[in-house]
Amino acid sequence: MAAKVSDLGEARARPAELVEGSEHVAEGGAPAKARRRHDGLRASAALPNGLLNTRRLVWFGYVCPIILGAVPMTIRAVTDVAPVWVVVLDWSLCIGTFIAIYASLLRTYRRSLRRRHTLVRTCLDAFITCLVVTLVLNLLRYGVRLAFPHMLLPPEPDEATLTRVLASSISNASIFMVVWGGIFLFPLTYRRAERRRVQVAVARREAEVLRLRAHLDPHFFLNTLNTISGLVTDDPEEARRMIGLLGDLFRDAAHDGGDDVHPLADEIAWLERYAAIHESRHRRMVRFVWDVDERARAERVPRLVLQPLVENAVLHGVLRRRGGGTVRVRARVDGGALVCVVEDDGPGFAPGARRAGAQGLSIVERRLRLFSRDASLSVASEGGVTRVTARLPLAEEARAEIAA
Amino acid sequence: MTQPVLRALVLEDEWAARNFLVELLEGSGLARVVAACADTMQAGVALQGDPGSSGIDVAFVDIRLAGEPQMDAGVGWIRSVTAAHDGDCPFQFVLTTASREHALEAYQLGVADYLVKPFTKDRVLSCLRRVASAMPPRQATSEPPPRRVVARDGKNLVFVSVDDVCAFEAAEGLSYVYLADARYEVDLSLSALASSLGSEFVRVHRNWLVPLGAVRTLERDSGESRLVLTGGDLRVPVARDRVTAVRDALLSSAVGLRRVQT
Repeated sequence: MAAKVSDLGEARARPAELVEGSEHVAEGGAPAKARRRHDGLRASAALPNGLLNTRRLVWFGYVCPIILGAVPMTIRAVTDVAPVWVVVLDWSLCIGTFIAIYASLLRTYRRSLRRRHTLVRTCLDAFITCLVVTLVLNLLRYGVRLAFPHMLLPPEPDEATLTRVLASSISNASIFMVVWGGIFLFPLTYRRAERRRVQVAVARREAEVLRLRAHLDPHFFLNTLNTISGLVTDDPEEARRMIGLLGDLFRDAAHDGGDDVHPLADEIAWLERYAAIHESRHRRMVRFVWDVDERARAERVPRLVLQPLVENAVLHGVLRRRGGGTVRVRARVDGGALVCVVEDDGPGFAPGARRAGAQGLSIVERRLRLFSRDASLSVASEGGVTRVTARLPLAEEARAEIAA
Repeated sequence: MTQPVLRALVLEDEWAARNFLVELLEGSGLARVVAACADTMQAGVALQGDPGSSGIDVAFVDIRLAGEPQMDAGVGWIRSVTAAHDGDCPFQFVLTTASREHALEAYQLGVADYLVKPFTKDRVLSCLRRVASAMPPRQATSEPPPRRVVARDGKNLVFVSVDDVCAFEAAEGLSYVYLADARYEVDLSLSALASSLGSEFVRVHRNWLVPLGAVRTLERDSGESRLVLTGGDLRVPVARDRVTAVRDALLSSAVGLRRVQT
């Protein structure tokens, strides 16, 4: 455990390495691979995003000849008997096919990656998508050509049968899927999804590191050990109680079960132990009052997200006030959100001034945002009370949001 | 007395940490704690207000002090004390803290040493040796300080001569000193007081520390033992497992065989 604490301390000292280091854990057995991939992403992001983009070059290389090939037909058609709008419609359908397939394939791959489908399933999805899109558009063109048979080049009306349309759609779909999907779009979306996955993993890991660092704040830990040493001779009962409390705090803070949320009831139970240590260390200086709504207890919150708020309330609040003071922790369900409030009657801070303990607050804010886009954190200091309010959308909504 | 005994002031906001440091300092045999203070105001009074004190040799100062608006109030206090002496402070400082983040500041302040928490016996010993070696010779030969207890009466500090003490009591996490006519709060635990005051004070009960010289009567009443103390009607319970030891101590002192403290 001690080693862990010092590791975290070093991570704090060199934030630039935090991302790299955290990836090791996120990627499990293949850290080197993960880093290479990560570097690759950085490199590709640095490429000029203009016409020289490889993907676009190939796209133009593929589409332009087809469009140019259609030009003689268009000239012929215009000089022939067909009205101009029919030619434009036919041409649009031709170009529209490419665009529609491009867009729908991209969409399919993204969805497959998000839902973690297998490669076979992804290819099947892509093929069906291509088939449907080309079939619809080819049928439209078939209709146009049926209405204006003289447009066809060479003029062979029997060629434009339904069977032919179907066959050409299937072959088109296969070609599109293989060429566009297999070679360009799939790797592209895969890279994007991978980049996002790495980002999420890094963010999550970073939050984890910050979280652990906050709870195992060496200053708090070492001071508490010193307190216990002092209690041993005079109040061994209290010394034992403190050791028990500290043990519980460690167990829960170093918890590695993977779930980053827990019921508010657990959060409050942890905070009560944390508070008990502060109360014991600063007799008559620090007092806690709890007001937690029964309905709120079952709601889920990011693990130990309120700890930095309580730490600030003690360290920068009541302990900075002559004679000490009271920390109030309140939680209730209000308007579809869980509202958690941590208050102290310490000296507070002037409007516009940087709040002491701002780093802790920004950690909490980031973790709340990771939990839900609708979560918020606000700080106010007025009338001798400093109040930090965290609003979290209720669990169902939060879950729905994560799934979306 | 071969080694000079350092007169120490302890400024530490946490009850348990203060007791711990006092016990370690007293237990070292190299220092005597003349004042243990919970905040800078008390420390200021202890420095100036004690008329019987011939000053201190070293002040152990905690950096973070509860009840002070600044996070590093201990450093501020050292600065103000140093400034009050025009930069020529007659005693040394030792900073105490849990982290090393103030090490550079400590160096710039010119403190004698830097004790990190949790304290250890060996570290405190080496710290005291360092302080003693850095002391000017005139102070090294000065006499041991008068034996007094710093107590609190509301916001005022009271300096109680050890000879006037009837008893110390621990109750509800606080300590009290009983005089013939008064009771004051003391910012130290009984263990810390016991280590400060030496063997003539006996822990007769978990909650009571009594000077043997103040005992007038040893009462026995249906298995319960009590001490009646001089100067008041104070009756102090004696813990069962300590009755024999207390009686032996009383008897030995009664026939004038009190052990001479070395």
